[in-house]
Amino acid sequence: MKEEKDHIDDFFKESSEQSSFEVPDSFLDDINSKLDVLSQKKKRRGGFFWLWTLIPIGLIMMYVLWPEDIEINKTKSIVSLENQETNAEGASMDSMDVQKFESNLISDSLTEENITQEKSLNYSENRSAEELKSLKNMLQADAKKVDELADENNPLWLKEEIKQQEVFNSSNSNNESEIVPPEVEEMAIADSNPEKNIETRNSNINATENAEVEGSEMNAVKDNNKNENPKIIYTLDTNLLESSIIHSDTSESASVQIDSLTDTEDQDSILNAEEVDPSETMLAGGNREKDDKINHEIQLYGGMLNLSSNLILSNDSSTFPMNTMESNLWSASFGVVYRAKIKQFDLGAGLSWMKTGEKANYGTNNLEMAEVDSLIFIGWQTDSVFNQNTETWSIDSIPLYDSTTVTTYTNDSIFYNAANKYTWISIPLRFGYRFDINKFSIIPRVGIDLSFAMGSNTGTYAEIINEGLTQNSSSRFILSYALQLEVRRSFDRWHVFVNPYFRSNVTPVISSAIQTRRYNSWGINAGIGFKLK
Amino acid sequence: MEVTEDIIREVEKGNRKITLDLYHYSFNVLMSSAARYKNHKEDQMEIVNNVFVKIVKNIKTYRPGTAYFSWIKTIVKRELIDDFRKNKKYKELFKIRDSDSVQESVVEPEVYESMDSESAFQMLNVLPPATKLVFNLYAIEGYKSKEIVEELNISYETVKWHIKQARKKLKSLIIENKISLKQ
Repeated sequence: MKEEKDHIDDFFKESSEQSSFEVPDSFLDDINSKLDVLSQKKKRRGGFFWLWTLIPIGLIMMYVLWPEDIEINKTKSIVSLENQETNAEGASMDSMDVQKFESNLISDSLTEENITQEKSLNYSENRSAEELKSLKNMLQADAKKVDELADENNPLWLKEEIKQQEVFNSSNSNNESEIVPPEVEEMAIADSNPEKNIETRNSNINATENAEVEGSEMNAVKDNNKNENPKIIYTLDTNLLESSIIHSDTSESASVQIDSLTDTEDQDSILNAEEVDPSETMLAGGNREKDDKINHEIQLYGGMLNLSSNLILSNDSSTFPMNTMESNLWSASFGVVYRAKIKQFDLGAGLSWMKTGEKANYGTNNLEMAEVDSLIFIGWQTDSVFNQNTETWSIDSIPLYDSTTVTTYTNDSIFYNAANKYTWISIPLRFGYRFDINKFSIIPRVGIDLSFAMGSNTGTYAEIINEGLTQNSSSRFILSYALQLEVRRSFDRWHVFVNPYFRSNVTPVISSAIQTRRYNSWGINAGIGFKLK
Repeated sequence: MEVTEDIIREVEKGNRKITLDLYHYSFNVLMSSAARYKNHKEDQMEIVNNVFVKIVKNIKTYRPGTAYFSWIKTIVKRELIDDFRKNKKYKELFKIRDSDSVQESVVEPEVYESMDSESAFQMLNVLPPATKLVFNLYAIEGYKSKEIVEELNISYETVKWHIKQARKKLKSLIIENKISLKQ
């Protein structure tokens, strides 16, 4: 008998192995279309990967390059403006008076403009000396043009003025304490006390304005055909001297007056870049530090998290074996957060998008089944004569099928093999403390998340055996707590960070008569942050 | 054709020519399995092509040098069992019905020699789906009864009953076939 069984089994096994099939065209068409779909999916996945990779890189590049471009453009526009003005004046000026006036006015306007610009430049820590030198060279070239024009007009009165100046300078150097005008004194004080430098600059502008007034006096000098009034010359010289002292410690050329007028901005620039007292810069920074006690930042981040269900069942878990048929879910999250640093304390609030949920595999085969091994007929037998005294009862059972099993199964065979996902928009609120180590910071944080459900947010669960699957809606609002440890590397005005965290729901996501479901998640975010001005 | 690392790389890249070569190479094994379980051409095509898509997706998990056909046979078996379980009431198919019982008959060994593989497939297709599945798994795929119990989540007795029924039915078909051949 056994041999015969083997025969039939082997026969079909061998037949199966011997069989050969040709590939029908319909099969090829079908597989081609399926492979097309597969390759499209792959491409789409690849596209998303590149998109998510390129967005942060683009943001970083934009931030790194953008501010520098703006500064360079600003500088260029100033220089071009100066060139235009200088060229225009060079072309139109006939007399030196006009030229001096114009130069004076230009220098004034440049001074005002550039003092404003200078303030912003002072803040710019990345301002290179090379840029400033090129600016200086351009302005010096302009000044030379003006000088050349002045020489062409052969202003003899100017030469005499220069001589007077030299005389005055020599006497001034001998009797400096007596002649030093109040502005110079102020400058000296300013030098010794850098806190007043900004004020001094304002007086600097005034001094330039004074020089402008002196221009009219210079006209008077020329009109009097070189009959110099020493007092007027003195006034002129002192004012010019003031200007040269204030704006440049190295005014030494013969054309000192014109230099002092036209090179005001140039010398200011030099002062900013090369000769400025380091304490001034530090002071400026210090003042800013004092002013900005609260540092403002904005962070953009994205990351992955692994979610596990924290499931509380109202009855025996073997009756509702959901927890044995579920597994953890990986999900993505991203968001934006504003952070304020007050001393070393760190406060943050933001907006984030995330998903929670679990993978479920509720198969009927996993549900409990009732099984009857055999059908048994049970009979009762009594004695034929009912006699109270001798009454006996016997119970006997007769198995109807002793070699077969009659099995009954649940009829509601419903499969659910998918992920339950809930989407949330959250407002994370965080509190932390910063430990700064050179360019790195470690920031442990605690906080809460206020999460609001997006869409219907329903999940499918096998709550009750033999009654199929149930659809449960999530809560519309959940509260969670979070623990984070941010590690960041700071650069000039931006930083990059990684942020591992643990997050757990305080209020349940799903709440029914059978289950109370919360989620715990471990995740990591990475992103980029920017300082706000 | 041997499934080498180069072929795996090309299939992963999406080289259609190499992928279709692999399809032709695998087709016989896939189709012989599908034909044993499914009667209709469309169903067979669905099984074969779905399995092949799975092979392409998971080709990187195949280690060159190991038995490729065994690997794809495992995939096709899983697919067939899953396909069977997709039927929401598949367990009802395993219910034992006395009406299905076939009288046992004896087949002489030489009878098998006169039959070809095509008629063997035709006979298998006559079996009820549940009986066919159990018999295929047991007699052809080499599953043990215990493994079938676990895979299909049915009782041991049920498995035994279906195997017995399949043998009885196939024997009677073989005898019928023999008679028709003689005639």
